[in-house]
Amino acid sequence: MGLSELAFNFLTTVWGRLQILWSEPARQLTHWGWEHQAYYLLFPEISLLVGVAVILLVDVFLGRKAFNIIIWIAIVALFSNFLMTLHLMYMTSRFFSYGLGLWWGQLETIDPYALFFKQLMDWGDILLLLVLFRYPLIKRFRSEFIILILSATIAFDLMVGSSDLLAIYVMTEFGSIMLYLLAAFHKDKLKSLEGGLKYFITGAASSAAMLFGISYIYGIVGSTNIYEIKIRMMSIYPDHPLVLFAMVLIIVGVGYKIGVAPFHLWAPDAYEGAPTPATAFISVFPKMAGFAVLMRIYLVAFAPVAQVWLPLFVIMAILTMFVGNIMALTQTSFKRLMAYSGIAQMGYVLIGVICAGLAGPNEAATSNGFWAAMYYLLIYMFMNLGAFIIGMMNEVSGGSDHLDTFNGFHQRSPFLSFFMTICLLALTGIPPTAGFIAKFVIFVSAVDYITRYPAMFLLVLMAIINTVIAVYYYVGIIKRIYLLKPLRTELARPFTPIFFQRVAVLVPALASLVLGIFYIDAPMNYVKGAWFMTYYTTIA
Amino acid sequence: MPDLDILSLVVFFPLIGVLVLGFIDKREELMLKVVALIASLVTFGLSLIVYFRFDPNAVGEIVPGYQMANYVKWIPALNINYVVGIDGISLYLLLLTTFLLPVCILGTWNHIKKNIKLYLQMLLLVTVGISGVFVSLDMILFFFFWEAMLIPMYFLIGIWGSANRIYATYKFVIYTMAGSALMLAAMIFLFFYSSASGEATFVIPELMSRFAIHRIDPGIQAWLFWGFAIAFAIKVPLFPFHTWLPDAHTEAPTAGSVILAGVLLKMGTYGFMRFCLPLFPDASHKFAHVIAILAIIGIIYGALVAAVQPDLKRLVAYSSIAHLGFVMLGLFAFNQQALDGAVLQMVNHGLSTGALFLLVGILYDRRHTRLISDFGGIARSIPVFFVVFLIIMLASIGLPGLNGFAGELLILMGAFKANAFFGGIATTGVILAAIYMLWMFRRVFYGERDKEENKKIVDLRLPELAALIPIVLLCFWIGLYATPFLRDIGSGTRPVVELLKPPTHTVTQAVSSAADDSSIMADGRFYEISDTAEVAND
Amino acid sequence: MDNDSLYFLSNWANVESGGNALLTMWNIFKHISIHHYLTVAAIIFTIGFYGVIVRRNAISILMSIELMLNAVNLNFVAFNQIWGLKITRAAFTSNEDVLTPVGQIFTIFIIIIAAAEAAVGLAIVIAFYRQRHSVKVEDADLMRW
Repeated sequence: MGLSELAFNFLTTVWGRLQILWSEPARQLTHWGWEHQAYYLLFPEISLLVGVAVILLVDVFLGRKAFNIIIWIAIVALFSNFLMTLHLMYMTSRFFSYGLGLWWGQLETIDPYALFFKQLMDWGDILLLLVLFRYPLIKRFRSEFIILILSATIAFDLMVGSSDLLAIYVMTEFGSIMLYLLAAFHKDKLKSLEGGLKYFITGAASSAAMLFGISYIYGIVGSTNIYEIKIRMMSIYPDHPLVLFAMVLIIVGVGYKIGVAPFHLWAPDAYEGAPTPATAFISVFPKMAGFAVLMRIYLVAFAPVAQVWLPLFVIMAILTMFVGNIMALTQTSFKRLMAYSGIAQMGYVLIGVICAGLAGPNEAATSNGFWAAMYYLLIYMFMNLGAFIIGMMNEVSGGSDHLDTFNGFHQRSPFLSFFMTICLLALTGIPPTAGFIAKFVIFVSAVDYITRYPAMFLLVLMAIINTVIAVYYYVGIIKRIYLLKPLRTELARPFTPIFFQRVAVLVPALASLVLGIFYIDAPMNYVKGAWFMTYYTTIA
Repeated sequence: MPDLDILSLVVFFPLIGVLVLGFIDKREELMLKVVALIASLVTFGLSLIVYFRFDPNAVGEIVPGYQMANYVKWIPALNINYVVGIDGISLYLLLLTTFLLPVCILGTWNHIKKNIKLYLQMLLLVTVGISGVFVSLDMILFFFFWEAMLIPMYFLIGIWGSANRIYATYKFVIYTMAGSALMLAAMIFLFFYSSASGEATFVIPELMSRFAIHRIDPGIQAWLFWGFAIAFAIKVPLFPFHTWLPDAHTEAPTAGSVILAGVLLKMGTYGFMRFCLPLFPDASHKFAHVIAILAIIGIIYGALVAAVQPDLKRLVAYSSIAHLGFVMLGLFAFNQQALDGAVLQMVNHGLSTGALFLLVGILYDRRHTRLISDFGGIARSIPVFFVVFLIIMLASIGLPGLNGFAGELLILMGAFKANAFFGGIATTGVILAAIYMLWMFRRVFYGERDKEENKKIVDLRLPELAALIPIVLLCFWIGLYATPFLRDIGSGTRPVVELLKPPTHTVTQAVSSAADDSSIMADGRFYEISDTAEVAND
Repeated sequence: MDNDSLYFLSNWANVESGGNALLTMWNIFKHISIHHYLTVAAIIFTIGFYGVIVRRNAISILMSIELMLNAVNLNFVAFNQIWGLKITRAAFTSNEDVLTPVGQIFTIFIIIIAAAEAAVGLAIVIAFYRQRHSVKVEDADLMRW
């Protein structure tokens, strides 16, 4: 047994003991009624809410100067959220076979699937906040920025756990409203407002369309609960045009949130206009939450009628990859480039979703597609966030987000350049980075179906072509960093990030490197198990 | 922690060098170079241990057929394992890789002026990737190294290359990526296909033994064959995919060119040998003519284009295309002689072309030009250089007594047996090689020494000589006494030839066709007889 | 529209109701089925969607979005008419009639959220107006492609 395994075993054992100690008083506390335990299960979100309230108070009483304190409060809130989700994870794995069931009028579920996304969002948020210690936001509103981020996180936390179309809609809107405000945050800059306006108009219209679809689903099966719909969908007539119509409308709504073509048009403008930390937030978290919801709607509730929506998804996946990659080729703004590349990345996740849909309701829980998509999102968060955080520091030190400021970046900061290279290679999917493993599992899930569905060959081929197209612009940034000379002499002046920024860079970049070589199994096994539990959740 | 095996040590030892280099100050250039040299020499020393422990008659314990193997679980969720091992095919390629690393460092001792630390690190990293490719026995591990090698090579060409380097390095990366993505899909398909006969696996020897019994459906074989073949053909490079090579070779720094020509191209031919031939024998037979014709086009085309190049480095680059054409022709002749010759020729080409690039690089370092017209009569200025260049050039042409001859002779004999027509055309390539090489040699070294600069060229320095002398010695050794090499190589190629034999139920048909000299390609048994029982029996 | 309603509409003060206007209206309304609601909702939704597409004024677009949401509300309320009673799993096990006004609850939520959304949207539009002195969406032309 190696040293790393020993250390891992030791830590997990200690953690397990701690959990048992901790869970006992929790059970004592909630002994007086099963109903009241519901609040105990809400503690992660409540901690964030308390964080928001405290920030508001601090903002009022300590004035605008206490920005560092505000960030620390937010980090503490997120960290307690993280610990509580970890505890719930432990509870689900130890005491309940299929998650903690449905709560609050069956609107929310606490299952490992939701907890997985909640944890990811905690990590990502903390990393983003670390950068904000020294980022030139508008002074007057910077505490609002933190509040918006925390509120959006609450919304997404509840969104990934939603098991009812009502909760999905309410939480999606809650999160989206926060995002509109984040996108239009620089209210003195026309670009920001323009991005926000476009984001708002398209987003509101698309969620109205989604609602129209939901209303038809309610009309067809008579319930809005995901697991109820799943049961009733088995006995409906799937070829009715209204079913297709409803599914298309729901794709419009969810597709906007995750930014897949042809519903991607807001993305580049909103990304470019928004302040870069907000862009980083928009580029990762709504996509993760959106995909969590998309998979719950389509792969649980609509799994019995997969033949209706699968063709749409195939077209969407191919279109998404091509539009994202081809548009990214000609971009000159870093944020815009990342917007299009992010669109293209979502195409790969869609392939995973398609494979899961192909599996059909009987094999659905064991198909590779689901967990491949989940694993891709995990890695995507790290690599995209890493690239964005470094891009943010390049913007601060270089004065603009134009790609030209990356020229000769290694003279300005060899440290940042190295980790930027890792993140970009991961996004490209070149080993030994985690991006390769993520793309690999997607390919594995897709190739599995080639013999049964020859059309999947086309999809795999498209994915391959797009992997190659993506090399061009990702490696193009690496080219600027190492091979080109700085545009102006002041762009070669050394830039040293502060300690917290270094941490914020190191964690995602090292994760996207190390998860490609070691510890590949643990997250894979987790997401596999998580999906299994989610699929087999039943209404008590 | 699994036991550390000697092969993993060889592969990953340069990483220790990279780490140590990381802690040395950028300005201490001599220190950096010495550390890198020591690291590379230790790596080579470790690979020599592999060489001396290699036994051509051994069976292999952990992985049948492969020696010094190691089998560790890596990603159990996907049944991907860390499997390394070595056989007669990969032994010399691994040795060549580790041998060329100190040669590169010594040969370009004073050539690199900017950011030498990063340069040496990249050189060591690229060696990790390439030697990893040669020892990995798991498809995904193979792919892992295959792609990981791209990154340091990208920087080697892109940072220290000459004027048009960015275009060249882009082209190199995109070509390779385009091929390898298709290969990855084919690998995954093979993984699922293998589940029909047991647990799905990525391990190559396991797949080989399974598919020897349960043949893959020929229709699927054709698809998979091309999935792999395109990736490898780009790397080799086979004729229509060759356009990245002249750019990359010409723009790369000297060490980059040496590694590119010396070992990186061998990854393609090695891939053909490791995947295409043993796993898809039916498809290989089916498309043998296509590949052979492309190889011959490559031989003739490479030679003709090389003849008219004004640039020395470009000339050597095009000569590579011609030489690799020979290797490919040997591979797709499917008999013992030709396969042995092909592997030997891979090593030979690595030595002679690597040395040629090194020599051209030295000349460039002195004169800052590579145009043939800028030289003339320099034999008198640099006699030692002249002698070394002469030997290496003759080895490259294939003069008897030097290494090139042994490989090419075997390949051509094998090719003649397989298909006399193809063999005949390929032979003209040897003549063309002599023409363009000797013509270039005359223009560079003989004639009027009319330019002032040519009189003041500095001859070979000590480190450069130290790098070149071993190559020259090896050229003579392989050329004069190739038996030990062929014995080791034969132990690796024999199973491949075995697998390439058509299924037993077609034996009668194959024997009947054996009478016809021009169409006996499909018959493997015939050659085995002729191999063991001497040609005199015919 | 089915024949029954055409019949009633064509005979406004017919014999059946004895000339009583209220009774006549009831005779008409009791024949309105869910299809009528759905048709009206679909028409309203289409009008709203058309408005979002063709209108140039951001405020008009907001209004069109409200129209779309109202169509959804109509749908939900209409569907609640058929699904509102005795549908949940609990209803199968209990003796009492279980009311599940899911559609109506949904409608109330939509109304609330639409208000919040409109507030945020108008705020963004006003901020945009302060900078650009226009609320036309074609003036948001700083970024393309």
